[in-house]
Amino acid sequence: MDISILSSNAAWFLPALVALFVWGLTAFLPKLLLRSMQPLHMIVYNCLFFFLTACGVQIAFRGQFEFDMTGVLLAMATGACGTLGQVFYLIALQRGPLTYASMISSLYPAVATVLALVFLPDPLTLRQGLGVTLGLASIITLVLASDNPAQTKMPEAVNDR
Amino acid sequence: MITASDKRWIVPAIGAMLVWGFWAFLPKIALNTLQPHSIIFYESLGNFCVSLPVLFYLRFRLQFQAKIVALVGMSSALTALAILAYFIALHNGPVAVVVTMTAMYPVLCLVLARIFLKEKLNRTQFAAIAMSVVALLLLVWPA
Repeated sequence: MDISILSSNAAWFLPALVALFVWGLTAFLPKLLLRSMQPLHMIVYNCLFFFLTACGVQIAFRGQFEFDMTGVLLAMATGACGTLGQVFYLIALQRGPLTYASMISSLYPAVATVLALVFLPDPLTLRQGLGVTLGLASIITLVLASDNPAQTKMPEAVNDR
Repeated sequence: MITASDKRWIVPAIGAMLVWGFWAFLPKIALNTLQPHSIIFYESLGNFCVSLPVLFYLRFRLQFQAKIVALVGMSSALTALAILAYFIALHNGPVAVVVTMTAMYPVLCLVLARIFLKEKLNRTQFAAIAMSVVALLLLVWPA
């Protein structure tokens, strides 16, 4: 592949790739840990360690502490949504089959896409639209391929989303 | 046995989808006034807004096994750093593309499990991997 083709997208492509890889590498860990710890307890620990890491990041960017009320409220709402999503997801898993609950909840990129199309001047090209559709289809296919729909299992990774 | 016909799971599952959708979208607006490293700090405070009631519900009695807690800490720290990378990507790229691309991380798990754990994949899983690779190329290929 010609690397120069990707260079124009590097500003978002490379960090997105890092996020994809780190989430992919760490996704299995909470699954293992949930054998030894209850999900709600893990949510609390996650928040605690997330906070400590965020403080570490702040220290790494020392002297650049920012405050803007709108931004702060939006960022806090982001955090609340992330944790609330975990709680909803766990409740769904307690009440229903893993496959269907996972499939519905994993469609969150569709919600974000709709929100972006409605509220942001963030137009998609036809090719990107096809990519988003195919990406969502691959997520659904993956969820459907992974488990017996009628079976309940331990909750999935309790990541911050 | 819990079955799909028992519909009580639908509302929380849709709830998770919706709030995670907002989780993915809201930072894009916050990035207008704050840098990614600041958003992740304030996001951690927002996490506490929800986890504190959970802590009350648990009556402040948390399970503690040093080894498990250390692993949870490592996992959470890596997740936080991945979210920081996600915010940086979101700062520079379109929401729909960045969110969809990063949401395909379970596919990476499958590939790693195949390579390192020699786990067998079924045809549907291979199809999902192929679809995600094509999707990735469609998303990142410049016009």
